[in-house]
Amino acid sequence: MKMRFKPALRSRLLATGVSLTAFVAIVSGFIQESQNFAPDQSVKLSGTNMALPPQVLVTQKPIIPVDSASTPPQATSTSASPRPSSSSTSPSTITVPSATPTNSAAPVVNPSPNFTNGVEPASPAIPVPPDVDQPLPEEPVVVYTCMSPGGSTREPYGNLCPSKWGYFLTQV
Amino acid sequence: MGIFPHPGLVMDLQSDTSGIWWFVSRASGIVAWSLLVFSVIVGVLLATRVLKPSDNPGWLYHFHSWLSGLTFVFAVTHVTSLMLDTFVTFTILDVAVPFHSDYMKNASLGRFPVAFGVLSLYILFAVQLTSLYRQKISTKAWKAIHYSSYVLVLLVSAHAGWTGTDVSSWIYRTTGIVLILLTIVAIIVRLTVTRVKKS
Repeated sequence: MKMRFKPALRSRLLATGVSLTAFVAIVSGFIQESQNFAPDQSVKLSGTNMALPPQVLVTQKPIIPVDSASTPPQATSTSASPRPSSSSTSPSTITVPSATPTNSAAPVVNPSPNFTNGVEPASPAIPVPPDVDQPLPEEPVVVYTCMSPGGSTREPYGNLCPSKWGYFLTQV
Repeated sequence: MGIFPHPGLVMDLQSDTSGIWWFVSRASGIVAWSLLVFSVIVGVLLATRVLKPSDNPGWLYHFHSWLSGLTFVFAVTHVTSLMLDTFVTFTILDVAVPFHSDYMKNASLGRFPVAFGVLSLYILFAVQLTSLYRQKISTKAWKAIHYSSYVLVLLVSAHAGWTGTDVSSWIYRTTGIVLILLTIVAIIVRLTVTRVKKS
């Protein structure tokens, strides 16, 4: 049976259908956009032109206490080597070369030619070995925090900050 | 699990549906804005009868009323979902009292854009209410309130343009520009074209 609608009713149904379809399509688009969101584009996507100052990027690095006076500059070349696991080969130990090594088992790490002439570092202080029991510094973790134009902060929803807000990174 | 664009950013969008109200609010606002503009256009066509004799005033009247009702429904959805949303918190006072919300898209504009939205809701409600009870109020009063629809559509355009989350989106911008142009044309037509009197 063919349904017959009055023209006004047909127009109303059409307008309602178009509106609801547009509404659902826009919501779906927003959801899809949020899932494909890249935080580096948050300012662009959100529409805010608020540029966050670069100084909000806070970098906190683990500090290893090393006596810089007793560490020759050449020793920094060993920093790229894998960290030894033994306590006798802590970073401070291997960066202070000895002219007369008494322990043949001690690792000789990149001996500097300056020390082959018998020149020793002045008053080689006994380095304080760092606590190697501490876990190795982990990879930097960047934490995103949303910041309103007024300066208040809040955790992001998923990977989104409110549109009016910007975001800043804290690297720990 | 969602996509991890950065190792430090933990997200789980698919399991977190609380943000759906934020999307619903934005979408309903856009749809309400579009419906309002089309309602004004149909209203102008009805008031001026510029398409006479090709138009159908009865159809225009009913369609105009229906579009206005749809606009009101989506506007209420827009406001209600804003209050339900926990991402950008809007209280009942924020949506009911102009200049109460501290939501500022652009700091230089202050609280005006959101206040425009609140005022628009009141005007829309007044226009709808007076149209529903048109028979019970004087024509002069009804017309005076109904003319505020032009102010309404301008306020909504300012509200959408200055607080819209998706202003940077080219789709949103294109839609907004088209809606504003249509509004301007409708207002110009309304101001310049005199109604064709019945013979």
